Amino acid sequence: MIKSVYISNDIMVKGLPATAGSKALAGFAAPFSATTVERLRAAGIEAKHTPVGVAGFPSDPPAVGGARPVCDLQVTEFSFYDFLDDNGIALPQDAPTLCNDYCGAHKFFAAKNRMVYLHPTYGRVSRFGLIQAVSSMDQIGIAGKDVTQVFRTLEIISGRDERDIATFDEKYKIEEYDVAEIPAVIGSTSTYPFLDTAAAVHFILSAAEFSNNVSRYDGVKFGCRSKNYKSLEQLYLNSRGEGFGTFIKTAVIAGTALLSKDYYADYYEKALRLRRHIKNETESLLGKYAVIALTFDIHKEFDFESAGLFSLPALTGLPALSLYNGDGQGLLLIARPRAENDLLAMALALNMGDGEVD
Amino acid sequence: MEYEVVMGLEVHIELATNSKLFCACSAKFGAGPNENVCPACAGMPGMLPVVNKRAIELGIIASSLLNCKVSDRVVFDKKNYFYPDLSTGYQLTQLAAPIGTNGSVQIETAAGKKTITIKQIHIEEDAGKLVHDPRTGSSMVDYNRASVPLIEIVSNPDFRNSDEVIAYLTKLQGLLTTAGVSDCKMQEGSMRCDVNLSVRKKGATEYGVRTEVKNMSSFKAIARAIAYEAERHIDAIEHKTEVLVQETRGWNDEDGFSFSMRSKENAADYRYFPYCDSLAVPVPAGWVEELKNAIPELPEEKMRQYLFRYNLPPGDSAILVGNKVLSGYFDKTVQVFDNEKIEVIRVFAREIANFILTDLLSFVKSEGLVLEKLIPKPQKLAHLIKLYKNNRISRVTGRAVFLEMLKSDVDIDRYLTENNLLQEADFSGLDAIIASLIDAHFPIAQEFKAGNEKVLQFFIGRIMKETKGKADPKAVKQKTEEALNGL
Repeated sequence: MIKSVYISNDIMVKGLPATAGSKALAGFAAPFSATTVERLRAAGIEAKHTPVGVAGFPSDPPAVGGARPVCDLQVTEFSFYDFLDDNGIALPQDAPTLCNDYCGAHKFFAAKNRMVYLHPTYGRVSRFGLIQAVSSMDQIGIAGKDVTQVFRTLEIISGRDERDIATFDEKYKIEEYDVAEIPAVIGSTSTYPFLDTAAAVHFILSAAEFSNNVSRYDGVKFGCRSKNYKSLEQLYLNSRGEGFGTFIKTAVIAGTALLSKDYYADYYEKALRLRRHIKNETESLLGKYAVIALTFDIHKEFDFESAGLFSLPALTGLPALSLYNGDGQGLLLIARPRAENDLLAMALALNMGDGEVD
Repeated sequence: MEYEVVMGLEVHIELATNSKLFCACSAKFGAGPNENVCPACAGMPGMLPVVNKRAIELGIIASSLLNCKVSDRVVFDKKNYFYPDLSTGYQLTQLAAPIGTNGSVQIETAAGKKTITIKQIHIEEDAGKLVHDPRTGSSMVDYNRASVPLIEIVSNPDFRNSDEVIAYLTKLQGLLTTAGVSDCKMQEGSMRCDVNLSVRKKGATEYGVRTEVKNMSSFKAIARAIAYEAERHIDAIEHKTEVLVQETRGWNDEDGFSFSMRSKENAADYRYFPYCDSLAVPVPAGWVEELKNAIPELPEEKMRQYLFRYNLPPGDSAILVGNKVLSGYFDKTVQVFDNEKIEVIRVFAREIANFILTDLLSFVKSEGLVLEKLIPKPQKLAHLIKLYKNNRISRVTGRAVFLEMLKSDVDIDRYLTENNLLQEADFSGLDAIIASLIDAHFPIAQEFKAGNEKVLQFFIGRIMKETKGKADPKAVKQKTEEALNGL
């Protein structure tokens, strides 16, 4: 029985601050509740904000209200993936948490913290009320300690929402079945051919979409407004300069350049094509196997290769589950579209780290 | 040296939908500042666009009307520019797959007929409006217009003079208002036209330097702006008065000149990219067919029908066709006679046109009323005209009753009875009245046989007076004639 669910602060709860962990949205109270929040409440579940920020926009300096950004990043040239410290994100352990994992870090840190992270099929869960970060990859996922609770939560929040036209009709329903029915392919990340490509594609597309989605934060209509300005241009520049952390600034600058006439064809367009290629290849692998299971080392740093691995669900829109499989090893399971139950069966068979799959 | 002006038009048309392109806010013009605004069109985070189906339908209808190939799916692209009137910082428009492509439209000017080819029609959202207060130096943003659906109709550079431009815009107005795509009101901004103009030596095949002129709010202003720009270009070529650069120019209609807004060098890079959230809306051929079939008659077809089916005079036909309310009222009234033979329908059609164009129009003009609000039911007008044609009332009575009907919802039959206005075909005692009048004016009556036609009129006048206009004039004439002949 689920009594409460944590909501990260990039998912709107009417009247509560919706800052996405960013100073740019300081003082912004949600004018409405997200569909997911409404559905939880309709099911009698308390929807409350995470005790520490599980933020949408990584922000530097740390965001308002003591919230802690997802990614305390140290930006190096053209990469914002080597950003996470050893402890990563402190996801609450006592109840499931709804959050948006477009960048993949939640999946990594969930496994590291002996939790699971479920990334539903794109369109399974309404994104209405989720502060957009990378629109083509935004998807509300569920982190939690108890795998059954995580999937129960998906049952409640899934289903068609006319306010998000990407959602499909079919509501998710738990069906438990024997894992023996599921053919799975398992491999280490080194056997999966597109991880470097995926990382680059993910960077280009997410920077571009980020730059576009945050252009509405001008310091005029809502959120952070600099006190230091003498002209409209200064108001814009200083509000954005003070409100956004290094991560966003990097994304805005890189994304703006990548979408410009000079770079669009060489970067953005190619990245779109490669994304399709990665999706097609992954799906053709899923034609033979119901689940792809990729192992990763939880003691390794979250590097470029990890970024590629954990971006796969966001890039392909396929359902995925990350979990800890014992011996310092994490598993990222990727299933066919709408086949979240295959993930559940695998997770139960693995007994959350005790089982073995071959 | 003779020069040729080459022009292409970009026409923005606000679609006549009830709600905006991506949210449920009203799209109506004229509300108070920011009354029609919700979190979505105000660009609040967390909102997602939901496409307005009617806007897509109107885009399809416009594309069909202008003979475009209709796209088999609707997808949007994001166009980035940072400006206060754009709440999200980007505009949703169609770059990669416009709703309509490769169309054409026939225009007619004094010089004859010509085909203008259409490059594309795309659907996009409008931006908000900035209101500047010169007194305080501050600017206010009104998002009522933000996300109101538009189509942009982009023509090829087929225009050679402003007559063609005006004929084209008039044609678009006629087509699009008749089909209900837009009200195309230039003064309210629901039709806006940008002119791309260049000048070259006659016979040349290469285009000259192109400038774009915008902000014209009437046909006259467009014609003036074209004349000005063409002259400016020719002066620059001929007399080297200035160096022409590719740029966007505004039009100051008050003082009659164009001015530079931005040049190609500092043109914005809009960083277009596909919008993933508006998953493609499929446009099946059946849907397009269905919409095409529902398009009401277009001006030319209607004109043809008025002239040749109803035999209305060309002048009357033109006035009716030019006004959607009047022609709609005419059509509905004439429909009442649908089951009659065509000859009968024509007679009634002529009378209906008469009532509408003389009585109704004089009333509307003199009283300054809004046509849409006051019109009596077409069935009632049909009934009145039937009474007149069946000689139950005179034309004068008909006009009087019709004017009453325009003022209030009168019951025609009761009104006629109460005011004693009905004519009676077999007025009892008509024979007696005729006989007594002939007796009283016997010498005059005898002149009829001698060939004095005026005598008949003399008696008819007396008889009508005696019967207080209630006798059927036809019957009066016939019976009087018989009586006089029988002397």
